[in-house]
Amino acid sequence: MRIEQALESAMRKARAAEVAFHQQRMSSAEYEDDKLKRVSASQSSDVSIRVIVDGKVGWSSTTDPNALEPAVARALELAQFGNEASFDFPGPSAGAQVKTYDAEVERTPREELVAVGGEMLERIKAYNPEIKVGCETSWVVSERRLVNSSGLDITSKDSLYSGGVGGVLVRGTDILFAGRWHSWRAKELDAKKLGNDAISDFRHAERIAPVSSKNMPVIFTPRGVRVLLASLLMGVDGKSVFKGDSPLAKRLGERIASPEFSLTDDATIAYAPESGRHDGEGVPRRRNEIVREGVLTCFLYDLETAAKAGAVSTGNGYGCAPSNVVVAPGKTSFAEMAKGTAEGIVVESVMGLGQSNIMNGDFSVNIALGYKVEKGEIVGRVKDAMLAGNVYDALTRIEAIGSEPEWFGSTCSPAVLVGEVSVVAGR
Amino acid sequence: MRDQIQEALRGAVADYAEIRMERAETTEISYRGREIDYISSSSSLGGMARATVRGGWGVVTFNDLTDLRSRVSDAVACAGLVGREQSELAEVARVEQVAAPPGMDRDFRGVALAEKQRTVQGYNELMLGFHPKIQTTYTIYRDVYRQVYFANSEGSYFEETRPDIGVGLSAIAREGDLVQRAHESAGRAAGFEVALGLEAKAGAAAKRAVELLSAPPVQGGTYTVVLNQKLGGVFAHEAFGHLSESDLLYENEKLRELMVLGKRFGSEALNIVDDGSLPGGRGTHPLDDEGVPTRKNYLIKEGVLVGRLHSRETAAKMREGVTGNARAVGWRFPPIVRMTNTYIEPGGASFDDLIRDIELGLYARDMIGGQTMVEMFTFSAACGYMIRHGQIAELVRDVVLTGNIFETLKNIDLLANDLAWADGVGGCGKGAQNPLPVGLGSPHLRIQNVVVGGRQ
Repeated sequence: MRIEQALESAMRKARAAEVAFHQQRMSSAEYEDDKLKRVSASQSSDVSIRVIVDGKVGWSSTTDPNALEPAVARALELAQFGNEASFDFPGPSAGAQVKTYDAEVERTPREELVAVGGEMLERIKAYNPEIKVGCETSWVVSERRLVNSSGLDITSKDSLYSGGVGGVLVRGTDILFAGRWHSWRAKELDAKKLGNDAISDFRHAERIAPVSSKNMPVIFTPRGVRVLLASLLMGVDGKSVFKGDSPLAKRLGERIASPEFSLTDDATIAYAPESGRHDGEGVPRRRNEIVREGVLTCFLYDLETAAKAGAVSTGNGYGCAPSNVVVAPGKTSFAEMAKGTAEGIVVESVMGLGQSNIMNGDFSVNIALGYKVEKGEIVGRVKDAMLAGNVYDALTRIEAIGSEPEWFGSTCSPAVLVGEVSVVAGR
Repeated sequence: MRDQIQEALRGAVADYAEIRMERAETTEISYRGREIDYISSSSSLGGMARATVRGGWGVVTFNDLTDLRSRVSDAVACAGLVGREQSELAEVARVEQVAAPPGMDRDFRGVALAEKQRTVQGYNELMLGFHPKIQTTYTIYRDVYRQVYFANSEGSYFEETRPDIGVGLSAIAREGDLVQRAHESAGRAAGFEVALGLEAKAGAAAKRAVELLSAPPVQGGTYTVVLNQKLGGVFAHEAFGHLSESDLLYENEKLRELMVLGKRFGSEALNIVDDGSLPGGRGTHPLDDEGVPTRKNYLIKEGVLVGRLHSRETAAKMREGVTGNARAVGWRFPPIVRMTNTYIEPGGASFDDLIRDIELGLYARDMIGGQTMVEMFTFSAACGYMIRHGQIAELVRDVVLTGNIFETLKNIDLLANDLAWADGVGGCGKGAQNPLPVGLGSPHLRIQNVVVGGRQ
């Protein structure tokens, strides 16, 4: 059964229907503990069907190409119990051109993935042969077709080229883990930089610096910033807002952060990992300003939630999740931030984020990789210490935003300096 | 299926090759507040061909089943790019078995969607109506019926059925800006009976969420902590269990030194077990995803490290016996070393014995989550009670425990006689493979000198 037939079959009982076909190919090379371990290839496809029957939504999916008819039947059956649908599927609309496919990505032979991984590995080993290194290089090419009963019929082709390198250094019972990775829709992987950045983490962590429990300034690196962003992004999810779960629900137009802080959701950046011309529901993607100079300016919506909330879809369907998240750069370099800190902590990565009451903004996390700053200098690694506070409180006490943004997954952020955060030392 | 996959493996030019196919049907219903948030049904069919050549692995996943032979030869080609040494896989007996599905009092595939929906809705309404301060809920039902078909180039063949069903009940209470959440769950490799009769759990979640609104955050510091069974189970799994997974160790001499068998890890009262053959466990199945029978494996016995978990490759390379712990979360992933049902054996003390001598301590209950980075662990209790002068005192919130596993295991100084299992709807994540059904069990435990995070 073909996509068109599935749509036709669904429309015999449904008021509206949508069929999405997705297929992808992928190739990867993985090193573990200094050794090339595995080369993988994959092919997969799936079809998902969404129907609106008697004003309610039903949804099913399958990876079995011979089971399209039963999948349509299940979606129709599920609609009896589904959510109220006060929306319609969108008709055709062009949307802005966004570059998401680079033909070079899938032309990369397996041997090259193996070689790039090997190069990153050797770089770390050359710095310190005691470090056990793991790395992965991969590419993925995805093709989508989305058709619906409003006449929409769009296809898209995306590529993604990724590399990551990490290492474990064991000294007695002290175990240090550090690593970096990067994903981009174009084949632009700077393996040398990834390796060197990981080495710089190991260098900063060579010594362990004692820390005592007190409130102190914290510099979140472009990767550490997720401690602040995780709660905020949950809080601007249109569904959490509509349900009243988000502490930001009634704060649109209010100042929620220091004026230096601006945040956008931007699916229009060429080759960024979450960029695309249309979202998963066929709505053109766009650039959404979430926080402008400290003021909350928008929430993110998909079709279903927007209809309920009396808003319009922001191109974040299905699920109201952000695409690429961009923190606007400020004026202070990382070196200046550190230099101006008499006693503080640099946070690179944490453990346990999401375990506390993250919707409320609370965080209480273990510093997995962080450094102590004394008299403007990084003096060593912080061990067995926790960071606790509330994101919505911390955002108002941002003292500086960095001038050197870096991509980490689909987030692009500079370092962020927060005035006072509670640090609890283990020993 | 059998003839098709065995035929495809014939003549594979590799040291070892296998095909694992999976068919799965999943139903999910979730409520968020009064409304259904998500109701969906999915079916999945796909497979993986895996081969090893000179010690290197080639892995090919697919859901286009038209030419299995070419999938195998592609896996062999991938492996050929990797292999530089000698393939080592522990010898195992050839298996040939079509396992009977685990017992299901009521096969959930035969339960009408309307009944599943009504059941979940019932718990959801119960939580919502419990108290005016209950602002919303998150209630989830999930059943998966998974059938696995496996053949390898050594002539083994098996089929297994692995049902998994779970219900998660989260109540969210609010007062002003303060939001508190409490969670209860049930889950097992069994039938629809698991989803029935959970009214008391729904009530408990709602009650605790409301109570937490008036609980102060715990004061950060170092305490004597008593863990309840659920949290003890998470601790055994997250903090210690992952270090027993030999794929972490077998190529890393330094980590092997840390985990040398015979080394003392705790007091004589401490016994930690992983058992994939345990009847009725959430992580139970007869064979692992390499066709190795599961069994009871002691990890720590009388305080001493005595064993670890293996795949065929790690067992061969570490010159130890197979344990039946190579598991894959689905057809898109290769089997890796995973836990099954992991638990701390009970001791002889009563709960009162554990708290009686504590002047100022913390009784930490249940879990929100846990995470480890090798020897460092962090886990979040759903709530805690202060222990003052040997008595359970006030409720506290935001209880996050952290520490070094080696020191913390040594600091377990008393175990109660009340082993219980924490069965949930989620599962264990390792790499990209999540969620894998696992069982977690423990008695009440007392641990000295635990760092508790919190604001000063």
